[in-house]
Amino acid sequence: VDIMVASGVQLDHAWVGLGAEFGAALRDWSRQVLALVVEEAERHSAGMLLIAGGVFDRAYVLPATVDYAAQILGTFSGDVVIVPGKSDWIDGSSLYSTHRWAPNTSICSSSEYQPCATAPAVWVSAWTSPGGAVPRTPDVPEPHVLIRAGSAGGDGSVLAVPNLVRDPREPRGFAVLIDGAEPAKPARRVDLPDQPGSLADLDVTDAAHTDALAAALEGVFTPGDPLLLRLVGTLAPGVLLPGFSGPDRDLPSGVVLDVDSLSFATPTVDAADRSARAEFLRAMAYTNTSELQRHQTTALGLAALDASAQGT
Amino acid sequence: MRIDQVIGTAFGPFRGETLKFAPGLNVVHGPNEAGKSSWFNATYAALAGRRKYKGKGTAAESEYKNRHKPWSGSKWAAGVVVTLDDDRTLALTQDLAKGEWKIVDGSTAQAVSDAELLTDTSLDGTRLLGLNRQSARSTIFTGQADILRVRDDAGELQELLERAASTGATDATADAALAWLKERRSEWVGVAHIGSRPLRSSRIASEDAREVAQTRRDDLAELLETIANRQKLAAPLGKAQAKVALSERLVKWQSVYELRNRVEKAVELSTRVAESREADLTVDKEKVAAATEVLVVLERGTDVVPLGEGPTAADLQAQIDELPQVPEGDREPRQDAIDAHSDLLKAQTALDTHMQAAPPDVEPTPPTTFSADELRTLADILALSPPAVDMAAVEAFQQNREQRTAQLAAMQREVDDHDATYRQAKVDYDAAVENGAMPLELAALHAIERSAAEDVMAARRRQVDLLSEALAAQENQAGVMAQEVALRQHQERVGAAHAQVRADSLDADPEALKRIAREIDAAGAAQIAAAKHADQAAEFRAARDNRIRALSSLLGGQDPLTTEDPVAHTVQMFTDYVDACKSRAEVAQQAARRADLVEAHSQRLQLEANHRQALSIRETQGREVFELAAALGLTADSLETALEQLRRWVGEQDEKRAALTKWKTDVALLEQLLGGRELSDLQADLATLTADAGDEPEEPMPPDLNTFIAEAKALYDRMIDLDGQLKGKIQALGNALASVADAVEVEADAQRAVDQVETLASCLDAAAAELTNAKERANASIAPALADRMRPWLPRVTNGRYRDVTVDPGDLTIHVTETTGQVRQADRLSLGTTEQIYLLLRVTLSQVLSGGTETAPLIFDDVTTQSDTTRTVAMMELLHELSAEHQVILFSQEDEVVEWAQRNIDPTRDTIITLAAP
Repeated sequence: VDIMVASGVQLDHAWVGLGAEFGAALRDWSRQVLALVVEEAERHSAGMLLIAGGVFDRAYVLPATVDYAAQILGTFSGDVVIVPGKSDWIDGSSLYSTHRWAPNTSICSSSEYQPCATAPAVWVSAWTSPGGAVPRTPDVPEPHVLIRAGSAGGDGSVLAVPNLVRDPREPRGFAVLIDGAEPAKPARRVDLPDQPGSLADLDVTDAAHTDALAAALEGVFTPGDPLLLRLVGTLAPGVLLPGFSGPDRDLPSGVVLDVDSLSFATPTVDAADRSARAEFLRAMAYTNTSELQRHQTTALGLAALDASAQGT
Repeated sequence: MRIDQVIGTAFGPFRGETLKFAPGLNVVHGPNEAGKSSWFNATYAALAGRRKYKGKGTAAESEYKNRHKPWSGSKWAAGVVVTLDDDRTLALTQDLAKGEWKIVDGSTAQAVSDAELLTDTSLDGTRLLGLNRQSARSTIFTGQADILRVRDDAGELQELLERAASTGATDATADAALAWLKERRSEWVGVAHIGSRPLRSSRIASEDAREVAQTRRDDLAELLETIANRQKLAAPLGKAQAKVALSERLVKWQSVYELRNRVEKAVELSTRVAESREADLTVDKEKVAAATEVLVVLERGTDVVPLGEGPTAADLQAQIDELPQVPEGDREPRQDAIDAHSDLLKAQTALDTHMQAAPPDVEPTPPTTFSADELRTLADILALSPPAVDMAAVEAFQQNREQRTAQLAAMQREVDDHDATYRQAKVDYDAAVENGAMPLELAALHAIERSAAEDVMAARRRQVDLLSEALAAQENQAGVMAQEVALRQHQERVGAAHAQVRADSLDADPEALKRIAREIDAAGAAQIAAAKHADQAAEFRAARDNRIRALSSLLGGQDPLTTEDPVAHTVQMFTDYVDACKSRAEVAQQAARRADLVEAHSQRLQLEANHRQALSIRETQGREVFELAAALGLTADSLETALEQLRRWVGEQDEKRAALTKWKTDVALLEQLLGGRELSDLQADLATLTADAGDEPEEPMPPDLNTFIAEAKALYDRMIDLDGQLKGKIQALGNALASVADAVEVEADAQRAVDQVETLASCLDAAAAELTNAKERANASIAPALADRMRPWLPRVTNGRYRDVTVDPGDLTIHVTETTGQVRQADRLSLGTTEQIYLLLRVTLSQVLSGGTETAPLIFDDVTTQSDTTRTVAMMELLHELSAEHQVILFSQEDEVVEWAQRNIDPTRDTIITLAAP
């Protein structure tokens, strides 16, 4: 019997780092991808569907959403086993416990590895607290596979299944098919349509001034689709990032800026130059602040000096 | 750099006109309206260009355009040809209207790159000098107004320096940059509490988003809690439902139990009724009543108790007869007699005690006539010491006194003799008178009398003289005389005392006298004590005798004092009296038993009569028992046996009667239970009811089934109601609750926006602060450079009056040092010197700011207009001096300037250009 394993549907998860627009798109996708998983499991004639954690975000999920999930999973022709993970850990007050699930659906509530009733070669362990203490690896002589959300061990003993809905910077998710009778056989990957939104890397090293950066950003935007824009390279000293150069240069909604990978150039100053500009740049070089704030402060000061030089 | 020519292509009044300059001093001269200022500005515009801007530009830019753009036509252009220090010639053409330009190499006519010569994206030729169009206007282009400003405002020098310093070596002014930052902060950030700028608006949005998110979080938490509560309610609800079902089964089984009990009871009663017959249980009521009465009578009575031990009535009568009569007299000693006896004993004791304390015998008084005090006085006199005297002086005094005493005695005798003589003479004379003697005789007698009188008087006078002399001597010897008197008195007193003592045959020893005095005192005191003791003894004795008489009187005796020992006699009387009282008391006690014995005798007589009657009744009752037992056919050989048999017979009759009663009750109950039906009918009903009641409950039947049912239903109703409420609440909350994740993301976005604005504010503030510090540091760095550049020039332009200059890095104030060493602040010097220093400062500023890369030309517009001749000359000399290193172009309308130039210029490198009048 083939068993389809999927993880990280992330129903009702709040994507606070990606913004409301990106988050709404991913939440819509979460509901769709759950149905797609069931569909794919049926298409691959899987006898069992195992969701390895991340069905929903316990902190924000609505009971109505859990109803939806229960109904979708209830449509599967085989057995459904849910192994709660870190975001949907189970206890007496969890919606897993208080909600009525379809007859074909069973919820694992043991933090220790236990074999599935319908697939004895599959040992599962649920998260029963947000801390998720790592359970003891069972000593099973027969071939078996261990499944615990978010615990893909380095030794390969625990099956690694990536989240289907994830931060764009994380690797793309997929489901896997394992043979319930021969769990030692390599798992087969089952790809699903990718989630909405995109990730774009933009090297800003060549943007010598703020206008050049703005132009480069304009070239990356894709209207209608949420975008995580990751700036890379080295930003020139006088270039102001969006958000620091007036409302006109703010990014459009749906675009999230990631500057974590960005480095900042240090302006050079002639040692003999005693002008206010040179003194300012020297002072900024020794300012005790974050690199980003140092850059933005320097860029603002230079913009001010340039503007005054131009009489604007 | 030097300017070779300026082309007024289309600038102010010029249309393609050109002005050429020499490399040294150029004096461009012309009357008013000849175009000097226009050429000055054309030179500036051609070299520095114009900032590109959209719209009207700044007020200054608009004013500049209005003033210098040709009044007709749209063209506005100027050009300039310059030769650099390296002899390269460049031609710059500025289309000021279009904001276009051209720069070509003068020798090749090839375009030159303007990449390094742009200020605000337009060509700025002053960049060849290391300046920009702003700093050039502050240094190498000096207008009339600039000089006027420094004339009118002493602070202009410093302001120029600050402006130039803040400009720096590049193309910006820190002050303007700070203003830009301030403006951006206002526009991009704003303030937190007012307006609609980003800081406030983002915070408001963040607060709103946070409120929405929190509300949804709370709603979700409430929903989940309600779901959990409903789940918890499921178990109690099930229990309540089960309890209701149980109560319904209990109701049915209660009917079963009731019918089952009825059937079982009916079966029991019918069985018992069938076991007995009524006839067997009937009794003879009369016989039973008679037997019962006899038994009751006998059992109510009691066996006669034998009379107790104790004296019989006869014994008691004998005792009564033996009792004595009640005696007369006291049975207890009277209290007054007891008190009198006690008083007598006390009085006798007091007398005995007093007599035991008799004083000792009195010693005989010593045989003397003196009292004790007199003896002590004599003893004190005898014990006195003689006073201290000068014996020699006293003896001399005594001798003198004795002598005088002897003399006085002799004189007294002499006086007495003379007096006797006189008296005799007088008697003779008187006798002669009486006798009628003859006058002669009388005269002779008289003379004798007179002579005798005179002798008496003379003797008296001698005696008086001697006494006077003695008195005088005594006054002189008063101390000695006092000693003598004291000694004499002492001797007299002691002698008198001795005489008195010896006269009483006593020893003249003072101590012995004092001892005798003490003995006299002691004897006196003893006599007084003996007398007092005797008095008191008499009192005690009298008191005792009174007590004797009193007690004796109470006891009725004769006067006891006549007896030998009245006390013993009286006490014996009292003892006898007491003994008699005791005897009477004992007899009276025996006589007092009479009443008790009489009463006991009477009771005993009654008791003995009752006993005899009771014995008679009891015998009668026993006889009746025997007779009835015999009538009932019971045989008994004793009363006890008869009683026992009779009682048993009565008991048997009672049991039969009770059994009959119960038999009748059972019959009635059975008829009631059956209700007119047969027992089999009830048993059939029970079977049917049991079959319909279902399984019998394991739980015991509650004491109060109705209460149990009511409570079960009430509990179930409450649970159902609560479950319904929770279900409704879940439904309502679920329907109302929107996405929490949505709200949380919006909240995070809003917070991010706030963070971004606050970070922007922080960066703007930090930039402003650092720029302010940078400006101050730039000031500090430019100050010494300025001073170094000005220092060589200062003596030259001030004819050696000032030899040194310093610039304060703190506030850029300029100080100059006179040759005398006195230091003065530059803006407090004379106007001429100030102007000179100002011009020099602009030149040196241009050098400092440019970094000395290119020699800058100096262009002046009517800078001597407000100067007197002396200052004009001084300024011309300065400019001429400067023209040795910098090209100087001076536009002027002053004749003095032209005349000075004509006298002093070097035709090989200087020139005078005359502009035609308009």
